Amino acid sequence: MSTALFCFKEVSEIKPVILLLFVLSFFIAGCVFSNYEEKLSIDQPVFAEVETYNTKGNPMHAVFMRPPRRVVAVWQNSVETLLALGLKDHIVAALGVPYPECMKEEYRADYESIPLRQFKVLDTENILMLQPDFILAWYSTFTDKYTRSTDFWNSRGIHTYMAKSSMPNQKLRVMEDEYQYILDMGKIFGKENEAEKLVSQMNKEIRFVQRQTQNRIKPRTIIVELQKDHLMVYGKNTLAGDILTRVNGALVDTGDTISYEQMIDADPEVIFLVVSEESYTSAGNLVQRFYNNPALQDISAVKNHRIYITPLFMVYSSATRMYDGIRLMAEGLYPDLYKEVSAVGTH
Amino acid sequence: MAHIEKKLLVIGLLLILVVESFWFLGIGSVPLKWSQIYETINHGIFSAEPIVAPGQGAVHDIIWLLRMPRLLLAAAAGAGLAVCGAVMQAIVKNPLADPYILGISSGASLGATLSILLGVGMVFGSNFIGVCAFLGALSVSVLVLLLANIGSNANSVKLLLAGMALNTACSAITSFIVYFANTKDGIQTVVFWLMGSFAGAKWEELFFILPLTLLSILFFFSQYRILDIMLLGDQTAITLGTDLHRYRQVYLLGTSLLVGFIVAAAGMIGFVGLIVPHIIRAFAGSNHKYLLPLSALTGGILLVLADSIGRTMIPRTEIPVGIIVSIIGAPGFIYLIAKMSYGFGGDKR
Repeated sequence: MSTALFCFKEVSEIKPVILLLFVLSFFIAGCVFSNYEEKLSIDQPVFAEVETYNTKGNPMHAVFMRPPRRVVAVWQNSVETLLALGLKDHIVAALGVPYPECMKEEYRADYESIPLRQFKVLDTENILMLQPDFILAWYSTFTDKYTRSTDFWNSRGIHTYMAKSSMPNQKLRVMEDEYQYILDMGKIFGKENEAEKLVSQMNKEIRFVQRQTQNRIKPRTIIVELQKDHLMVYGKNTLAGDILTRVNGALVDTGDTISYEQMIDADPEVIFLVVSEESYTSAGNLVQRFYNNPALQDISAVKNHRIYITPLFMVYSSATRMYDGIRLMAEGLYPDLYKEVSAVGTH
Repeated sequence: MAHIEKKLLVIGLLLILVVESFWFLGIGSVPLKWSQIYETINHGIFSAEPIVAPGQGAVHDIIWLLRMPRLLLAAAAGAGLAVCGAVMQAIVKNPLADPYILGISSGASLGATLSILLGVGMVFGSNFIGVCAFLGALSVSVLVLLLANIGSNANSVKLLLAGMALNTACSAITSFIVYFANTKDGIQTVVFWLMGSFAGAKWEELFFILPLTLLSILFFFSQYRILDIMLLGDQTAITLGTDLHRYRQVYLLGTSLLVGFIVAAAGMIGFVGLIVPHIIRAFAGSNHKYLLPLSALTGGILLVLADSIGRTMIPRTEIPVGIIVSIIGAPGFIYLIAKMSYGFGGDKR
């Protein structure tokens, strides 16, 4: 008797159990999914429509029938953008802000008035208990193992929006992504004028810097972040690189990383040292590592003490805080720029 | 043990699993009253509204969409891994075997690493890591079978050696990718994934995994005589009129398929497949007629317990279930080895 036949004969002894199992599976499937159709209100007029992304990384068209009233905002850019648009009363939880001092001073009081504020992102159960109608976060937030996928939230009737600049397959991150993010928030909450104002303020700042520095030599600049054993480089395809180029800096782009030897060879005149939230308080020590390293003393930026601490929230998915990123880089490249302005009045 | 009525043991374990399941539903970051849980379960079962329909309240969603799928996945994964462990130990006739011994773990790890760090397989949707891990596990299993069959028919020693060789090769490639990866988030995701978690359990996945697990367990249960013969070795089997070669291949593919699905849904959870069959042998002997159902129940109980502990041990933090299984499993296992003697196949060890 062949093996297959023998296996089949053995299996045939449990045939009734298998049959029962199938019936049971179909019954349970019926209980879970039967007659389930998402109820869409087609009579209600559409309040806002925006393009965003889902967990699979595909573009998603989001339709809002009314402005969200119970928002869970995750990460600093989400919280600050909503506060900048005057939406503090719509936020039920502000998550992912390391500490209040990171917030722009003018938003701090509003931030403190949000009922739930914490750095650690809530788990799915706690977010459900907040009964949100909108979750504003990054791509990395909406994963099955973290805070569940966009499909999960959308199937519960809860809108989601993720910042385009947080998408992992984004090859090019530019300032326009941040503008679009702010304008989308304006559209979703019916605050278009306020959003336009924020965007035009940044545009105005860029135009001002370009005008004031157009005939000057662009300083050779590198933007780096200290990693465990190497330096990560923010190149021309990053938001930081885009801001720097627009404020008339000459970006040194050596790919993803740079060694200290290459750094000596490149001899940048200015270094912007990006620090992430875990290093905000110890950023001064990180800069000292450069100044105290005997091997780096011939680098112009070290010699002239032109290394500037750049908080990550200003140059990565930064939304409204991109304004601070623009100012910080412009001032770092041309330290006399704003002094001249204050001497002759405002720009 | 002759004096223990094995059927009573099955019923006892089944009862423990049911009670533990209710306890599990009460555990979570949001405290819920027992009455709330009972009402929600009742409503979910008897309401005409499908349980995935929105607008049934936060408590409904927590119980039916978060905790219940998680409970069922933990129980199914535990049962599946324990049974696969018992079968694998019989296939290679080695008490050190577990469901991952023939390179399935390193194949799955390689698949997951490729998807997390290099973005391979993103077309497979939100669970692309799981799908890549499944494909990795299955590919390595098939390769092991092909390698072990080169020259002469695969026997337990050839299977083990082919498995070890591929294990090493896949681990080396995984380490190579991790070493050159320039993303700490990605590496963290790989590490977290390799430790296993039921946090992402979904009904859609359960409709595959639950019937597959139950059918696999029933299939292997129906094969208990052959599995018993496997412990006696190929030569004894031939004198009994059974050629084990083809059975070995069918069983190996069956276990790979099930373990692949479990890995895809929950990541890597080690130790269950190794220790549970040993624990059961200590109490109920090596006869697969009892070993398989008892292992299935004990595996389910163990993983549900481990997941409960992992979710509650440190407030607002989830410890990967793989770590908990090893922490609670290892001392118990050592105690069993030290205190009890039991047989693996015909001989006492």
